Amino acid sequence: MGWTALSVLTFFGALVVPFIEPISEFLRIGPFAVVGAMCLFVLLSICIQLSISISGMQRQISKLNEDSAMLRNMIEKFDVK
Amino acid sequence: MKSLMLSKQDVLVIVPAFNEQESITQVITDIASCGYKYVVIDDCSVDKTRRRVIEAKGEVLTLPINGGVGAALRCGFRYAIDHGYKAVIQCDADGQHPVGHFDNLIDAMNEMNADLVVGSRFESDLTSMSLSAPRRAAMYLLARIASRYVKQPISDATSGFRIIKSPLLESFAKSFPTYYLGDTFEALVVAGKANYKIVQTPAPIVDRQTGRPSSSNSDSVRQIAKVLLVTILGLHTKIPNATDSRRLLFSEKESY
Repeated sequence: MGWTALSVLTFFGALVVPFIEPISEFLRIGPFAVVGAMCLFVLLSICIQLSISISGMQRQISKLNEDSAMLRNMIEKFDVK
Repeated sequence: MKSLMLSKQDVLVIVPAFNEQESITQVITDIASCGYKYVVIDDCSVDKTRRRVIEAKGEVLTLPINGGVGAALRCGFRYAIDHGYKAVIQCDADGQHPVGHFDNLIDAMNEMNADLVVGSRFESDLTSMSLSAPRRAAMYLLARIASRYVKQPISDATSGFRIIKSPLLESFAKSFPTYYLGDTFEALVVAGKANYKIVQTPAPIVDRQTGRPSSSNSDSVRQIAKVLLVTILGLHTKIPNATDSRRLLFSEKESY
């Protein structure tokens, strides 16, 4: 969803310039700078969301790693018996 | 609330090992000769560490992915709880930690009714470790910060030679900071903030005989900055309060 929003904003950024002009005038920066800033904000949001997802995946991998080691130990003991 | 008096039989020694084929046999032989049960957590070694332990008829868990010392320790905590141990001693596989001082850790824990005892290399006259000035300064800084959270003087916040007992052990088995310095410094901060009693005892730690340290100097600087940032911003691992955990532990025992 984030990537789609970013792509749409980038491709059709020029079309929304008229709507952005009041904001750019208020901020005293160019309208394309406002569009660029919005793109950067969306990109940053995507990166934060990905970072959170990766952290969650790391935790799951870590737990699977431990589970795997303990299961292997149990199976080896079972084989010896 | 009645405290838990530990004996040797209640304690499991956890030995995280990564490529320690040269020293592991001697370390586990020493541990066994002192009458302690142990488990080696092989952190995906590419050498013969696992084979050496099996040849010595030792207990070994092999992690399929290298996760670092902290991940190996957490695996060991879970194993200890599953097998009914009440406390664990962390011991390095490179021969740095004094196996003969395990009893001192247990005695200190029993005498001071502590939940975690840190073996401090700076409190012992027998320590023979060469530390560079920057490293010593960094360790001093971390120790000062840890002391504030622990509310006890801690001179060696990065020592991995420690004993941890229930219910802190259960909490760490669920949530333990596994990155470099997380398993030592941050673990103290986390336990201190949860009101667990942490004390230190002298422990003569020596230079590693074989193998390589787990972190380079540049990596250490980066990791120190990271752990300080995590601590200052309060982003560290959270565990349940000591009082709540003790109440839960004793209620579980009474229900049997």
